[in-house]
Amino acid sequence: MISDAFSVLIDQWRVIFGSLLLIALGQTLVSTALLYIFGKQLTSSEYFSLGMAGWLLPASFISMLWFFAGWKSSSPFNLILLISLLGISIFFRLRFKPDPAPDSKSTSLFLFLFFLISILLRLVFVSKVTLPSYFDSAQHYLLIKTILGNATGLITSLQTNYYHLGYHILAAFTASTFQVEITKTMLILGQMVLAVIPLSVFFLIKHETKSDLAGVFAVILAAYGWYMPAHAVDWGKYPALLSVGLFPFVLSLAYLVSQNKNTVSPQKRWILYLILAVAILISGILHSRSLVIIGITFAAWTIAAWQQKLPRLPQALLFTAVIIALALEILYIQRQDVLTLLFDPYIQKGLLVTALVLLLSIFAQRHYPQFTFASILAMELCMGSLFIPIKGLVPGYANLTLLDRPYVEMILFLPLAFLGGLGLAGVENSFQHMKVKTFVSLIACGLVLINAFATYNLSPWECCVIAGNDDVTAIDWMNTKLPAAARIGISATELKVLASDSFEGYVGGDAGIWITPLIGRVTVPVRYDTDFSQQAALDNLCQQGISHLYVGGLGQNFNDSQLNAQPAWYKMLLSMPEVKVYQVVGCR
Amino acid sequence: MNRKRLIAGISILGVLVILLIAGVGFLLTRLRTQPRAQQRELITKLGYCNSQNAKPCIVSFSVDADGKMLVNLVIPSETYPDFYLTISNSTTENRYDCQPVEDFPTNVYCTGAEMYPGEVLQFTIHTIKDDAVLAEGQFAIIGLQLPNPEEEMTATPFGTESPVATEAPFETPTPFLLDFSTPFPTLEILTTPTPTISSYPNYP
Repeated sequence: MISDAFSVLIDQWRVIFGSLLLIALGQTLVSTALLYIFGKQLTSSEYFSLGMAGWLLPASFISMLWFFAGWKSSSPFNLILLISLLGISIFFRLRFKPDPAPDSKSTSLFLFLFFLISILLRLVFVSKVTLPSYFDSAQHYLLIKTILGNATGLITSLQTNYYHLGYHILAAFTASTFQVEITKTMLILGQMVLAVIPLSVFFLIKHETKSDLAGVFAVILAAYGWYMPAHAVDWGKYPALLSVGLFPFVLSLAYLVSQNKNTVSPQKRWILYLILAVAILISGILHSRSLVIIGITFAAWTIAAWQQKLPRLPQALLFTAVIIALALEILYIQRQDVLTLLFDPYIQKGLLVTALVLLLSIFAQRHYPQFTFASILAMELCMGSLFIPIKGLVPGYANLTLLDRPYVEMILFLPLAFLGGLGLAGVENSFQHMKVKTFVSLIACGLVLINAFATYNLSPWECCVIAGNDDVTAIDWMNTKLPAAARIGISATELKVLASDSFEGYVGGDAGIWITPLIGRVTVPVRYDTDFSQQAALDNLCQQGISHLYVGGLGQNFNDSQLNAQPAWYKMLLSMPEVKVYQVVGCR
Repeated sequence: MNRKRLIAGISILGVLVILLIAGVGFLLTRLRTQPRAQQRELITKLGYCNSQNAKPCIVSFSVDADGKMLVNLVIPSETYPDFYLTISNSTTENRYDCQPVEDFPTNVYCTGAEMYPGEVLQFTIHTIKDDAVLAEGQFAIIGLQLPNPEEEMTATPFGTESPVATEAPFETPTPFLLDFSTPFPTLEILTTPTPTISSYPNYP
């Protein structure tokens, strides 16, 4: 497994180097800005975590400048600019007078090593796939390719009703600057974001609890506690993943604003507000649903602060009501077919870790009631948002809800990791002796790591790999052999992820969805379960002018035995063990 | 002062890691571009791709309607030398010209005469530059399915005519023809009488 990771490291060193350079630059710029604002109020490990949480901010900003300002300079120029910016920011970082607050040196070092090891582990995923997973990736690829190849990329892209382009611009900038293929950029950038996300939860827990080990425990939970958020790359949900990656930074900044209103000068406070505003804006550009999450968190934190000011009895009643409502919500959601997968990472497949977190939550509630209540309430509001319709807000999308099931499923790990970290700090507070505290914390970390060692899957999930080596060869072959006017029928299936179970459009069922993005050929979606042995199916194909059919090797593909059974209607042009290309010859 | 040293240390370590990745990657890539094929011991064993991850390896065999056989390979890196493939049995040796898949430089397919499954054959990869042998192996072709064999004799070249030549609504293919995020109001999706569609849920 590790040899696979090293193999990717060698083969894809340019894009890995590029991603790390962007991360290092973003981390240094953000942590330097925050050091200027907060000086000795934060520790070096907190600055490290905050910088990692916020790396996407400068990286996205630079890439957007590159795109919106039409500043499409040459690759070497971009590279020199990035390296120079990194050098300058490190120089300024070292020249700052205020030292961070005293801290354990080993924590920063641990976080850094954890990041490096995570990168290696995450690269295993890349070694096992030919193309990024699932049908979403094909659309992301197309948008990135459009941005790279078209000066008016923005206008064209907006015609697709796709309204969060931050990820695509960043990926296009990376691919262009480091001269790498789009597919590899997508794959590796996604894994890098996954390696960084856990570090970003450290700050809030460490700062709130003053416990390094509690922060580290939250990091481990966020990284390997559940199969989310890593499974998002199996869905090709890269924009959502990036927005989830930036969300802890927004949260941390908002927390710092609320906690340090009177301890920083007005000038520095305005800089902080500005950074927060830009972070929220970029979150929205990365994925608009992150704005809903930010709103929910703000509401949850405000209600939690108000709840803490209530007398003891109403406070307890409100807490109990929220817990009961959450339990009912979970029960209700589990009865909805279309939403049932929501809890798969946390209950069906992650029960042990979730149970540990629930146990620790008792201690979290006792010692950190506001943070705990806010986390629980935020989870409840996220689940509730699955049922709140928004009609007519987004053109082209008739049936939307505030959040959809995949997004909520992706992000639930975050409040759970917070609860785990707070809970462990609560347990630590219950003991007097330092050695006992450390022992208990190490046991908790060990349990999660042992569980991860036994159950965690670093490879792509079979469910979502819809394209293999044969597919890319067949698609390339089609590009050279099929006439320019060919209209290729590809497998399609319905998209249903909303609580209403409503139809949201057609999505690709197999690698056919990659034909248009990769070779620019016209494709026409055809339901994957079409019965090609029926005359009606042929008539329909002829009516739509479909000249060819693509049968992919993986995913939900056409039944090729029905096509083979009608040689007078469908002529096989290419026969690979799993992949087939047919010509429709039965039209009169 | 200790804090500054720590920050400086981590910064330097970070930069070193980035540079190390760049340096090692660059050097190894350079080394891979110079396989000394004349040395017999460096000839790689060629076989089917498997979990061992040894490359180059053969993914599959296929046949097109022209009767040409396609050999689908994966190579170790994009800097692997340009090559061609020979497949031989006891009586004949056929040459297969190879081309990388566009945008996927480690995926290569070689095209040539059709060979039949079952017989153990000799597969050899040669560099185009100096005919040096890069990899070789002996095995039988498996998983080869012939396209509509009963029609093969009458098959016409398919790349020269369009079956829908009378109607060309998409003269210039646009990548945005498909918008898979929204329903297709004007497009009649081919359906079967079955009311249910998804055999497994979206985003499983």
